[in-house]
Amino acid sequence: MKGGKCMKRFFISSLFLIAGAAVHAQSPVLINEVASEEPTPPGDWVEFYVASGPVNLANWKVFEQNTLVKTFPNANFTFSSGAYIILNFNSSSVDETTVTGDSNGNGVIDVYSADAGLTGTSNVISLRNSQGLVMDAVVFSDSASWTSTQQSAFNLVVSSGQWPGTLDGGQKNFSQSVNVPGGIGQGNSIGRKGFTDTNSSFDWHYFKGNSSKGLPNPAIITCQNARLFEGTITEVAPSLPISAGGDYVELYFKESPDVCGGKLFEGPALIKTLPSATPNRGPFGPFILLHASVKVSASNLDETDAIGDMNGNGAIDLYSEESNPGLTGSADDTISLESSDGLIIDFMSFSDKVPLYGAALQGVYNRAAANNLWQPECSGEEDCYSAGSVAWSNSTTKSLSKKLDASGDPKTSIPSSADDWEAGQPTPGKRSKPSQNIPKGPKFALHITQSPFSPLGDGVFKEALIQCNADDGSKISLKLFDIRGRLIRTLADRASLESVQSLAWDGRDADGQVVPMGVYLVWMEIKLSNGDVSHNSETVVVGRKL
Amino acid sequence: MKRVLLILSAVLIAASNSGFAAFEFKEAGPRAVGLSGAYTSLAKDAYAPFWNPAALGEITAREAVTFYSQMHSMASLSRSGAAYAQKTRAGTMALGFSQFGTGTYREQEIIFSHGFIISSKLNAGYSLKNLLLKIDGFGSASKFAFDLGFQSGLTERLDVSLSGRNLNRPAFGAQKEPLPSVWTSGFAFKVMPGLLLACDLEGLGSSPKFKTGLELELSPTFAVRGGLANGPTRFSGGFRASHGRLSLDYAYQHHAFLAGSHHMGISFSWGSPEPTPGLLNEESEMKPARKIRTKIFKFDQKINLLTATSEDLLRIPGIGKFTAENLIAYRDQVGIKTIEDVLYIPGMTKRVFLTIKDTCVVEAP
Repeated sequence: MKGGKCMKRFFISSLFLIAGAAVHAQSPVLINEVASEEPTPPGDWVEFYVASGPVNLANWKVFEQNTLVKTFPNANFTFSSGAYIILNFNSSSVDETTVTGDSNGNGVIDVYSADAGLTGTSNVISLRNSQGLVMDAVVFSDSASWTSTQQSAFNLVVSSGQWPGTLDGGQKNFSQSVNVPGGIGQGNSIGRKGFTDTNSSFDWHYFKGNSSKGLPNPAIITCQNARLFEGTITEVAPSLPISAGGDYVELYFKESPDVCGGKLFEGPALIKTLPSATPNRGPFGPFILLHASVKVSASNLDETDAIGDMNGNGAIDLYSEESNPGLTGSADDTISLESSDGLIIDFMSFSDKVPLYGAALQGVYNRAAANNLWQPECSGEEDCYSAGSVAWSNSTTKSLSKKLDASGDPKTSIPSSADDWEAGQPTPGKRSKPSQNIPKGPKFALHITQSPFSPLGDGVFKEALIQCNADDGSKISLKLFDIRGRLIRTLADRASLESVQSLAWDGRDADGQVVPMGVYLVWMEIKLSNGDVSHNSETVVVGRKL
Repeated sequence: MKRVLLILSAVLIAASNSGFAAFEFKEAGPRAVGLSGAYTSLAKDAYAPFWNPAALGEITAREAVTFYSQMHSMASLSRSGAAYAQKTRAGTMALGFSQFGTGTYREQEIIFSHGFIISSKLNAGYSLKNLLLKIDGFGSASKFAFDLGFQSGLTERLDVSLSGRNLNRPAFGAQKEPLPSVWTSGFAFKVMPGLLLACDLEGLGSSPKFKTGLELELSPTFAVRGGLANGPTRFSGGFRASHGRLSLDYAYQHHAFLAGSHHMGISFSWGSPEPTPGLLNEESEMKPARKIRTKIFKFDQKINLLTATSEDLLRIPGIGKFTAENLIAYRDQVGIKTIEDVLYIPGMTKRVFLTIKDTCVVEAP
């Protein structure tokens, strides 16, 4: 390469490194989903999600590789958190703004680009603010095409700190992008798994035949089969104020089932479909805690096997899927747990002893009693339902909890009844007796779950999950070594965005090759803003069916 | 010399495949680690099953070793093992065992090795190994593997060797992923009395590993050593402290990013205490083939070490210019009062001592 070109590249890279450092905090707006091979009409589209509002997006720009494909309207383009914006290609329609509102009534703000559409093979989509700084980016590839233009655009988003990867890596960069061999294809999309933004392919998922334009991306349910598991409802707090943590439902598990697909109901209403999470395994203890007053969102992500115990409390913390989350504590209510295929697993009913015990609740109660999960059976006798429920005087300081058995564990025998329950001090995610609680371990710096795993899919886990705990403003470097100390891959080398971050390792080396089975070491360096440096190492095991 | 170069060339062009994570080669024994793994030509002890079974042919006395290491200072990467070697009529036999990892991931290796003499300048050996791999949640598997080794004492000061591991390429798992066969060549050279240089070349595939180490004997009971290797670049150091038949070794291996590795081991020999532990000539003295084939000359009159000249000493079979000058230098600088004082001459070997004892006396003129 000639010296002048080298200098030019160095200058541009330096410029973007500086700019990247300035915008290392999570972008308020995320590129959320991309459909790049849609027929016209309606054509390709890119979905943006406002993760942290209000934010004024006037004159923000969307680039496909190094080509400007859209400049957002220069006024009336301020959005609050949770808003979706769709960029539609191959259209000269007038942009919707906060003044015009959702003029086509599809529930989101639509903007349009006359550009014919996205390149569907390998591409870089970047969102830049009005000053031209790259605020978010996504890189995808088809395992075949990697042009010099693509490389140039890739280098730029890497230099700007919005994507990890090897500069001028060529086809090595396939493994550092959202790689969909053969391309995304018509009717499909790539989208974020959640709203955690680690600026890497780990945030993204290939939604085959399951795109969700203008809607939250589909939950990535990885249930292989319908599951019937044993679990017990052990505590219900229906009236706790948000300042005290809000309403919750606590589930207790003796075994280690993957509860994927299980359902929690308040009365007849579904309030949560359980994600793939396994109590009593990895960082999790025996409790699942549904925060019934808090809606699942970017800042309140469900803890799953893939994400891990983000708040370090040892329980699997989940958040409500209700549009208006919260339990009813001022009247009669029931909570029931069902398997993915609708078999009722556990049930509890509480009552303020004031008539009437509604017909909808009676139906749920009758079903639980008929399945020998609750007694007495009431068979339509109205006074019976109230009498057969746990007595509850609405309280903002108390919860209802299952009594403990002789060993100090919550009672799990069935059928259960009101006598097995009592009102008391809330103990979310814990046994009622403090002495029985699992001691909370020290705050970890580096924690690896889902190990051993097999990238070939012949084990329980296909990826290992690496959780890092670093202070805001610190810089994290994560490297992977084999047992002889050879560098296999650099997993991350960037500013910390959140105190706890999760990265998945797919069992591939820097060249995208699946590594052999064996023990590997994850090495982490944290450089704090005050200059202090700390190092941690953990092992991760790659297995194969033996 | 031409023959030497030919043998060296043949040794150094041994090829190999790239590494493999399960049963990845791990240096056994703190002496070897202290020399950064440049040990294929030096493994003339009970560690031979882990390095080069041909080196067993050099062992004359029973020997047992046990070792423990924590790679990168992590308990989950600990390795322990033991080995025992004994000479028989059919050569020297050895049994070795090692275990790596913990409950989640475990490798076990049971080795039977046999080393024997082919000619006065060439030893050969083989190892039969049972490899057991167990991964939590993935089951366990056991495979048979064999190693082969050759060793040649080209001169009194230079040994070369060639060792091949897992030559049958056992395959693990439902995917039948074979372990690669890895050839390692090396040499050990006695630079001067008390100073030893060793080099190994592990494989010549896409990423050959070059290892080199130096060992310096500071006294008959204490030696220090250090080494450097690539792939990745690492340095190491260690020491040996001996008392009678018992020796304690320790080594530390550095890594640029990861925590360093600690290795320690204890060895016990049923033979006579060696005055010069860990040196090439210590081992070359124990080559029975050469000992058997050494013609013992009879002298009408024994040579007086207090008055002998270099020429006098050179008349003794097995004594070269190197040893003669070293002996005279020691006599002039330190002094020799009894024939046993010869043992304390740096670099002196038992074989040379016995020869001197048979042919020399210490008598005041």
